[in-house]
Amino acid sequence: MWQVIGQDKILSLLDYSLKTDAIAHAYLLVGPRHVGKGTLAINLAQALNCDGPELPCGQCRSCQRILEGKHADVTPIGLDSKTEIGIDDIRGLQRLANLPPYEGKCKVFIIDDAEYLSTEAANSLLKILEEPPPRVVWLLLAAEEKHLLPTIISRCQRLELKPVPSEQVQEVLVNSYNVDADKAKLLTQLCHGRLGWALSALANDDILEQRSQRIARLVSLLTPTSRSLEQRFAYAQELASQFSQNRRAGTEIIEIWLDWWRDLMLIKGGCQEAVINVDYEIALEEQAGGLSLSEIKGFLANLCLLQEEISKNVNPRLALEWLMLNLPRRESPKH
Amino acid sequence: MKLSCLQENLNRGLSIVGRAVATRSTLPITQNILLSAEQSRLKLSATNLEMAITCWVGAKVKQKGDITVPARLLSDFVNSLPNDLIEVNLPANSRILELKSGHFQAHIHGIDAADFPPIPQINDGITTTIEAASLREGIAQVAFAAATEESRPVLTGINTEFDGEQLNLAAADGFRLAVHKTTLSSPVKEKTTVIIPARTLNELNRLIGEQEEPVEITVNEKKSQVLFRLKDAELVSQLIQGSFPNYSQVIPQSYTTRAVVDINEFLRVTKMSSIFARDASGIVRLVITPGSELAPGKITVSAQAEEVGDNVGEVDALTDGEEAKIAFNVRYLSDVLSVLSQAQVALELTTPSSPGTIRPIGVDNYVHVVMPMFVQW
Repeated sequence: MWQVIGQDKILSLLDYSLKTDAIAHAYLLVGPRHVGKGTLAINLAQALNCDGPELPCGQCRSCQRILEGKHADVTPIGLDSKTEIGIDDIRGLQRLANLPPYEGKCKVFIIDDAEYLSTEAANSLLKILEEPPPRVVWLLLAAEEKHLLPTIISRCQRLELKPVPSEQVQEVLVNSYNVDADKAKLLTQLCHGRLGWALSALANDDILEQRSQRIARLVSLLTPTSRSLEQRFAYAQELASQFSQNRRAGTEIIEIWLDWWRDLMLIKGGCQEAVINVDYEIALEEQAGGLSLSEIKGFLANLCLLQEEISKNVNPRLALEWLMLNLPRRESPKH
Repeated sequence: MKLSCLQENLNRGLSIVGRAVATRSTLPITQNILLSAEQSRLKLSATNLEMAITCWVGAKVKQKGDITVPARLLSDFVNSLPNDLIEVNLPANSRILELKSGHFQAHIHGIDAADFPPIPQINDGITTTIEAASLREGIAQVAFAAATEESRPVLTGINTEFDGEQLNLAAADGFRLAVHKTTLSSPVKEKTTVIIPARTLNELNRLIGEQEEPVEITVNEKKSQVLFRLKDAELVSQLIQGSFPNYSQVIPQSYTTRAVVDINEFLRVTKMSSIFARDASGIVRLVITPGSELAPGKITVSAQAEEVGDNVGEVDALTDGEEAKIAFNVRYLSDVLSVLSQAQVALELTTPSSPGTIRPIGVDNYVHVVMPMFVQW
């Protein structure tokens, strides 16, 4: 049984390839973070080494060992708190790739965050992707495909994992994980079709707690009592330092901002049912009341611009301060 | 698991299997050693997924069982103990190994033995035996010539050909080729060729050490693994997949100049030149001068490094043919001269741009071919 949900097209392709023994030597799995790339990679590794009748069975010893990360022929590598995957990591894999499987039927190398391969590493990987040894399958996982070398992409079969439809996510949450309807609805909206995110938020309450804190900060910047520039600049500075420590956390906060302002726009336009932050509807409505549609639209455009500029490596603090200056400031009545 | 054994034996066993423990690996458990208490002996195993070494240590086993513990921790601790009886105890349902010896004791946290990658079992395939001394010589004279960089994986291994009673070992790295032939103690039932990683064979040579008993070799049916069975240890290695280049056409069939020299003297001048060759991309120039009625023939070895200096050395030689010149990388020359045990060696050349051949005198089972370097004369 495949464990991946909502990727039926890919699964039927893989099923067919497994049945006809036409598995490619390398697959590139692209799709947003938490959409199920890792699960699919592990599943595929299981299928390639499975002893059961229905691939992957998930029950046999080999499937179990792969799931627990103990199988000698399934080698996952990733960033592991480094900033890039270096050439030494790839060289180590190359040596292993030229040896036959140790205990299973097929060697599987899983490179997570493949977009973070250094140029040298990617080039050295090219060589082995070009002349693949027998019984070796490479699985490259990437969230941001555009950072990969085109030469790598062209040597892999590309499988694109699409965000899972909301109804399906909600159904899985309610039926398979026994989540109550309200929470399921919230998680479904928040996860943007990435079931993996919803599940990790379910397992770890801190994720939702952190989100609430972040939203509280965001809301506080817009309340009438604390709208001074100083406060906003302090926030910009704090967020900028967040970026320098942990870029991903920084981008997550920007995404929360985007969702929030998108919701404001939806409410302004009267489309309450599509709102993401369903648990903050009252706060959203209150805020939306004080803003005009053009203000919201303008700020959303600014947020998108900021996101793009930061990905191009502009100074986060400057960019964020600019954003804060553009944050709508309702004139107080006494003026 | 409950047993007792001598520190000396355990320490030796740990140092044997320690060679197969992974240094850095994506599978952390491969940095552990698997201990299994069997009937009256303790089995130690380690693997780095390329090769696996298993070794048995005599022990008084009171209760069977198995566990894996970090290799460094265990071997460093056992190594520091005095030579005395060690009590090894693993309480039921526990993963903490207790070691006790005299006034000393230790607890080592381990991982379940079931999580350890299975040590490959080879029962089928082609089996043969070979004298330890012949295998030792073969590996020593060939393994150094294998490539160390991974760009052509088959060249990092040693082409091993079992043909009747013959064992042919060959290694090449694109600049040199070493071929060694020896006889097996028992013939194989069919001709088999496999590529064994050079690292494995180097480890095997260390394991053979002073052993005199013959070594049993088994290649499995699928030709994916090879097993070497020694007196009290077993080494299983994965085999490199692919086909080795056809090297026989690289070995020159004829020569125009041949010089026979004393190996030790030749090695001495070579090493001397290497001091200057260090700063000159390793280039040494060899000139073979034929002897006349009054003077014997000689090989002149020289190296010159721009703005550093130069040196010249001569070795008397029995020559045959006309004068010849050639330049080699000095390391390739000294590498081969240092592994030969014979007294004399023959150097065979044709032109400065064709490979030179080195053959030890007195035996006809070894050939070494070195590519020349191109220099201005």
